[in-house]
Amino acid sequence: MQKKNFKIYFVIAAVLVTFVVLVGSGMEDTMVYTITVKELKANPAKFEGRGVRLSGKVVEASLIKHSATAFEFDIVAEEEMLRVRYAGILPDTFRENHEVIIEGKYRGENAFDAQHIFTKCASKYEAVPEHETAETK
Amino acid sequence: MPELGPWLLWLAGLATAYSVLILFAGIRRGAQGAALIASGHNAALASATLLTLAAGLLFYNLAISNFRVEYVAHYTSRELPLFYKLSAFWGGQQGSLLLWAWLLAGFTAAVLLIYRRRQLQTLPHIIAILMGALLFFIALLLFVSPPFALLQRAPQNGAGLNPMLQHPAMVAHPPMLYLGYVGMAVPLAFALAALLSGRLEDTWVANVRRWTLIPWFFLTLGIMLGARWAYVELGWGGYWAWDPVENASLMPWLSGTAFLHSIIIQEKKGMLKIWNMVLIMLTFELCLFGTFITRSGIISSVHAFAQSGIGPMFGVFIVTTSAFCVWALVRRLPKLRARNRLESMVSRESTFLLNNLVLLGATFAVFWGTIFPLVSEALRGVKITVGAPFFNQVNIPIALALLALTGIGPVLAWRKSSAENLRKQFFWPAAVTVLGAVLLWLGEFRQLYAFIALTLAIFVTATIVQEFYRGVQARRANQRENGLVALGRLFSRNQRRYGGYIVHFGIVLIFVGISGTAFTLQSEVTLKPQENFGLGRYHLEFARMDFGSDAAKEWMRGELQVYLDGKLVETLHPEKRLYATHEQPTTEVALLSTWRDDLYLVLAGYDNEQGAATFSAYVNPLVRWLWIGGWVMALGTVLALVPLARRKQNFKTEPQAAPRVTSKPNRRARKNQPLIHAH
Repeated sequence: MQKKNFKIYFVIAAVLVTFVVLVGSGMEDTMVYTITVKELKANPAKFEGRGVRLSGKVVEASLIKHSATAFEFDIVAEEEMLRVRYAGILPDTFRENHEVIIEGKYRGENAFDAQHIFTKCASKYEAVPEHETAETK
Repeated sequence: MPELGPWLLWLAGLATAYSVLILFAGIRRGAQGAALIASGHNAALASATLLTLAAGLLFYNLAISNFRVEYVAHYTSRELPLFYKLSAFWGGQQGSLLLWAWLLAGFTAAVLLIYRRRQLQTLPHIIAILMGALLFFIALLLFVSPPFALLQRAPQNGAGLNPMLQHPAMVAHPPMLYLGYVGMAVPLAFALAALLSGRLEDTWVANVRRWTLIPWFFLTLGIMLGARWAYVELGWGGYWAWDPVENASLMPWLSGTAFLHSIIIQEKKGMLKIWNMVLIMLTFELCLFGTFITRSGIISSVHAFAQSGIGPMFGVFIVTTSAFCVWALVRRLPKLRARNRLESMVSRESTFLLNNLVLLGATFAVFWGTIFPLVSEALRGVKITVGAPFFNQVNIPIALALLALTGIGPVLAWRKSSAENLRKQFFWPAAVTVLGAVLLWLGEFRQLYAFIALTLAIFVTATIVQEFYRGVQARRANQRENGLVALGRLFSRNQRRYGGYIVHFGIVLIFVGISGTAFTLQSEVTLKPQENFGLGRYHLEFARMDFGSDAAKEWMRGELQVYLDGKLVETLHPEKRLYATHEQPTTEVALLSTWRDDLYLVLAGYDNEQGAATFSAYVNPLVRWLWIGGWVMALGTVLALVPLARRKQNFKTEPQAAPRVTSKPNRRARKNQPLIHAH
């Protein structure tokens, strides 16, 4: 009896350890820091090459369209500006002068490669999922 | 007469409060309390009736477009088809809360009417607990989120239902989820009633399984419909984004699934008693947790629910009910000793235990990922989110382990599987699986996880087929029945078990559907008319662009011809619409669905100057199997729940189960409490 119970606890412990390792390693690879443009600029080295999520307003007349699926624009938050590059399809709700949330990687030298763009619409309707970018990999 | 609404709610509130108090008093009086208890029960029925009237009143006002009611004006408009006018009932928060309350009262009334005649002794406890929960929802309707608030002046027209929500799947999705969330209160009430009354005999266990399967069924359907809606309506090519709101519906499903399995162990072996209590409590709290995180705004979601005062109140409700649960449990801990111990690692019990660990591991992983932004902000001052990659990376291995257990568990013997038993049960499934794996490899399904998933899918299917086959063969030999009769009888004699196998097969199909994502193809193209492009086995030619408008909306629509092996198979029309009432365009996905894959086409934009349209195209292999799997699961659950044949014998039969020496039902309990047998 004693021995068998030991075996069971061993299996349970092994499963738990596996979980911890799985979750731990999963976190390490996929963390995205939600910070402000100001924080990014204050400490660029810390965030270079890491997943970062920022929000800001798209600067008026800053949108450059290289092709139907390649864009560049500026966002501004707390008077700090950041150049954003984005390859993909802009969400339906993307507008200059509107708030956006961008997720991607900081490449240094004031350049940001966005992988996802979310728009925050001033929707008065509830229970409405916002438009997501086409790219969700 | 929407003015009646608040009155109905007040009266329902009073009846509910009265019911709780008088039942409590009746329970304390013991044998002398019968009259009080009867009165409390009647009050519960009165409350259900009043809430039904209130719900009917809101439906009526929605139907006749009485825009004097703020809610009606806010979520509907005159042009809306009646179907969507009515479904706007759960388009917003006030109506959703009324639906919660109404459903909860409905569940309570159902429990009451079913068990009153059977004289279930814990019934007063159960009703008092459910009424206590109902009181919370009615209080929200009265003080925080009134559904019958009136406007000073009725507007000419209402604001209209968001066009994205005008989809049949979206009409059914919320009430299904609510039925699931609300329904979980019933098994919780059974568990708490057992704890409070001290009647911990396994009668509550026999009843609770059925009452858990019902909300579990609706939760399954609700999740599947939500996924379906996201797939056809949102236009990003997938059906599951690991958004907090989606996670919120998945967590109680996972822990509820764990409970449905571990309760079997308690029923058969008298083990895991404390664990089961904890599981059902956890499941109920997780049902509330979803509403809490979405409405309180503490975790940002792409689902833009209005933040409101009810978020914190749900938080308070969760804390209060959890504390109550823990208190009720701790009081009875000494009485919850297990009757048996695990005898062998190679037994059905131990695979159930592993299944529970794995399901709870998945629940925890989802929970952790969902609340991590809060944790990191509190501990490190930086808000760190983990997105879909985290959930996939962690949950895929967990899910595969679970799939393997789905195949192994049901065919192992109780207590201890002998080598002989193992050989008998696994020889054919293993042989088929090896053969299948070779074929998969040759068929180029060479992505690690997808390969494992599909191989395991074959394995599980083989074990299920073997179970049916053996059952039928045994009947043919012993009862001299022909194959079909034997199959039917096999099923009706043990619906729970064979219904469960069908649910498992549905899960297998869902895994098949999900493993298709490993082979997804995607491309974004900008085309002028008559230009073409290829994706996977498809070849598409952009024919032209159409523009138009009607009273409700403007639209632009692409026309593309789809060729397969040089043959024209379909003309697709991806579309973008701009509704007059909503400033944002919506996407109408064009879909060509086959057994092998879906061609999924989205019109992303149109450049007037260039005359070129941009499309996002996806080839999503095997997706159809996912939806079919959902329906198969639903079917299996129904088959497990709904009695197909009137049963003659009054006890459960479980072929192949070990002799149930150890689980002799308590005799007194049996005499006094005729229990519903979960078939």
